[in-house]
Amino acid sequence: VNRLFPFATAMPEGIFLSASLVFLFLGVVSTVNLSLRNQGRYAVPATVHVAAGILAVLARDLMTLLVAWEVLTFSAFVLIRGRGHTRGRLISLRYLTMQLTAAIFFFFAALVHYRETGSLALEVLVSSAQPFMVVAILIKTATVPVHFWLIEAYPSVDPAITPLLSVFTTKVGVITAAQTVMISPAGYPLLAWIGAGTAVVAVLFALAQHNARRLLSYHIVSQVGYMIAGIGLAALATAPPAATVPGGLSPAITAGVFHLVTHTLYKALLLLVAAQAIYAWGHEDLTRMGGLGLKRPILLVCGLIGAMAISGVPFTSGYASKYLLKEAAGAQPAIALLLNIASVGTGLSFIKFIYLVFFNRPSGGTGEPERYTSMVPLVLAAGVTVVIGAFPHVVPGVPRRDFFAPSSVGSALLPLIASVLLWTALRKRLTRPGPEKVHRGTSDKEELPELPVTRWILRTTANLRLPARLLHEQGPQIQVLLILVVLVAVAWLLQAI
Amino acid sequence: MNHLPVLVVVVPLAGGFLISLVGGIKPGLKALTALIVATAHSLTLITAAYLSMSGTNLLYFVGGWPAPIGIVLVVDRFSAFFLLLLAIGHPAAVLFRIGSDNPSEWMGKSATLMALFFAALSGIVVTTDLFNLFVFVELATVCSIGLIARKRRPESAVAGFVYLMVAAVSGGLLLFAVLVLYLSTGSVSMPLVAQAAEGLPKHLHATVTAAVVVSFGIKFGLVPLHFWQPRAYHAAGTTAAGILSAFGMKIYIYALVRLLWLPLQAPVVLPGVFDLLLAAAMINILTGHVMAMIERNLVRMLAFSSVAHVGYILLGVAAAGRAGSVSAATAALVATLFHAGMHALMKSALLWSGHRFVLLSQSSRIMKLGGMARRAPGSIVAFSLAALAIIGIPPSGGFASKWFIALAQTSMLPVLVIGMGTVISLVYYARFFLIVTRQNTASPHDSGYSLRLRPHLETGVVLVLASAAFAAGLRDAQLRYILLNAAEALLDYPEIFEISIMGSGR
Repeated sequence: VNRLFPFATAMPEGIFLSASLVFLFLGVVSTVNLSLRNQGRYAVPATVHVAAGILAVLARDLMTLLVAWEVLTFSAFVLIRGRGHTRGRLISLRYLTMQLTAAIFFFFAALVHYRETGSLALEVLVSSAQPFMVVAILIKTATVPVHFWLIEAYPSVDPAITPLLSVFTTKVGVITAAQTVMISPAGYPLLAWIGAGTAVVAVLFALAQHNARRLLSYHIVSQVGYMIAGIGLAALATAPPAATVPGGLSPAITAGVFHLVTHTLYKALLLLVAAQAIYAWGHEDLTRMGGLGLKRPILLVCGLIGAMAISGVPFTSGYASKYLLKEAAGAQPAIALLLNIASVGTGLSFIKFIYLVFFNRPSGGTGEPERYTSMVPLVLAAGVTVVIGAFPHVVPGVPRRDFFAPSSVGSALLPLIASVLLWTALRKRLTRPGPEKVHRGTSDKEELPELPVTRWILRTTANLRLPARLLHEQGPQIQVLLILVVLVAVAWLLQAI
Repeated sequence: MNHLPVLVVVVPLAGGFLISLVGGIKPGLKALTALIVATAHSLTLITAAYLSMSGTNLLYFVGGWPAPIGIVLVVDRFSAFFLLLLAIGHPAAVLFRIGSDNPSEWMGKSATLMALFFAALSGIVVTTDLFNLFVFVELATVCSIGLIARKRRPESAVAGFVYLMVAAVSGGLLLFAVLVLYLSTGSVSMPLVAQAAEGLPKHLHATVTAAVVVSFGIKFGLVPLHFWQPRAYHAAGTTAAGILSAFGMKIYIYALVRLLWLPLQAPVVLPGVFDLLLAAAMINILTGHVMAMIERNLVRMLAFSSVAHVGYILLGVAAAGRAGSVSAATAALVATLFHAGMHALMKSALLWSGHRFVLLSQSSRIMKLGGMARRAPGSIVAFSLAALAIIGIPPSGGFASKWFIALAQTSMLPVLVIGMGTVISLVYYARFFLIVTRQNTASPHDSGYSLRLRPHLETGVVLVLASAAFAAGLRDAQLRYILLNAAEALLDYPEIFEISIMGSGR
């Protein structure tokens, strides 16, 4: 009799090794950040969260991976619940429900796969299990339109926790997809289309945001869309042979996971920058920040590194990973085009971000001056981002390419030039203050927008409660009558069958 | 001849009266006596189960008479598993009561009732005589009515009365089935009836099966025969509800499975009953979970969760009955037994850890339990562990049992129902967790209610139960090896019953 939970793990190879190293590095950085911000009471769930993230990369069988998913989910639930305000509780409950729904689809996929192959080893699943796994991945990676759990949860927690949360949940979904999903119904790279579409749509949403962390959260959704696009492209028969990259992985998957590595680093960096800005101003309304550029030089440098990396400016880490992604999308010009459009939006959004935080005229109040110790996590994350940007080959598993050939640099500059042009045209509109000030973090004042589905469920169950209660309060006469009816029905049915 | 099969019934039966007697002479010793009786019962159960699992099936001819005339008690590897459940349940329930109940409540008859209830359940497991089975079922019913109504509140009396009425119908149906079988086969011995089962007229067989299914369906809460259950559990309070739901319900399911497989030969003669059970199981899961989600009372919520989990167990039973091959049927039965065992641990841990919150706030309404976790940290840990297991979060035992039940299904629909139930149950357990761990600066229920007794014993019991349910997933291979033996014993040609008829064991 085999064990259901063998806890098979192995040291990952190639690009997955880089992913696990990044998880470890950022886990340490964001835990250090937590202790610097005196959030020591989250130390236990934070450490468990980091450990589960690393376990997810090391897992070699589906059950271990599922355990890692669930441990991630429940530790994040504790982190999001925070001090248990009403809003925090609602958001954490919704987060938990969505994550468990994803896990259930994982369960279905594992079940179907196990039935057909008799094995739970982590490999590309059989085709009948693919649809279930795809649904699980789409929820887990917060693709549009199931991105709401991320947009609700990440900005609502303490600013020191957001960088930690941003590292793991969605990225573990990407890691899982990279190892198990391979689907191209009727020859169409389904996930590539979904991923590229998400990248574009989420950027459009991001442009409309005034709240610093909401803006960055939409960019998580968008950037994870890039990764999903990379993994989706690997399902194509026309994909280049796997021999060209180390570890025998498809180049598209390598590109997707490499983007995970670079993105996780610079997104954690950007969220740390946002956290510093929020501490300085005491609120997180971008349009009412500004003027930090001169007072906080180190923060400015870190912010610029992050913003340039996410926009894909040449010689940054984001440039290198997007280079590989666009190379993988070569055979699918439409997807490459969508990713380029998303790049334009990303560039525009981060010009706005940097401008509003550092250079805009502050509207009342002054930001706090710099505390050098609290900048340590930022400098660490920024340092690694710069190194990867300058020397992409130091990352294990990244194929040898001439990343900085003039033609590729030129084609990467095109979207950036478009961003700058758009910025000059749209600056007024993008930096207009919102109707009211965005307060910081969790507060009971803000109403939680209800989904139509939730509202429907609430209304139905509220209407159901009284009849159900009455039904269960019936006296013995009705119940005995019911028993006799059931008896006759069962007897009749059994004779009929 | 080994006397163990009869001792598992006689020890708690005599013990129950002993408790009453000691209580009359020296009330202070009542709890100790109850504990000694439970321990002695548990030891006989474990010995009997161990002997049978290590290869010696136990056979006992009451009064020395073989089957057609006398009552034969049998412990085979299948019943051994349920004896083990009772061996856990009886001492755990007594220990929990000692830790949680007011000494004044020990004045009543509930310690006696509990011992008699476990005696009756043990009797149901070991008997191979249909009429004897009916007697034990009725004894269990009487004891559970006492347990439900013992709180002497008006709603307890009502709930007890409602249960009395439906249980009377349930008993009547079982008696009807036994009578019809006796009239048509000339015997009330299960193996003898089994030999004649294939020759019975089809409509007669179907009617008897319907009576048996409905009779035990009432007992374990088959939708829509479950209406008495949440009300009764609520009235009974968490302690008694834990005993009824975690252990009583499993034994009724055992009785149904035993009757369907042995005397009625349902997998061969009437496989249609398992299609019916499959549909009923899915209805049970959905109804139970949805009702639990909209329920505002902790004990009733957990009662509805029991209704749902009856569904999971029946999914396994139905899969075993519908299976085309012996190996598939064995796998399905292993999953069923696994889930039955897990649910016994999880549900007792949930109800009994909930007891502390109910006690602290003097209410079982969930909204009134806000912030109670801080005052009972051990209980919330046990509740959370058990809730994680019952939702089915890997690597808990609850996940493993759901996985195997899902694996045994032949179509995808029951699997989807299991998944849906999992998400719904997550919602209501998480909601309860969030409310209980809410930070309440003001504690409105500090009415000077003295928290008595031995909270460490109470918390210890629930922590052990909950951790066992959680950790079972990590040891699933060993557990399933034991269960495999039990499942094979039910499905194999029951040689032991052959002997019971011929009386060669004399």
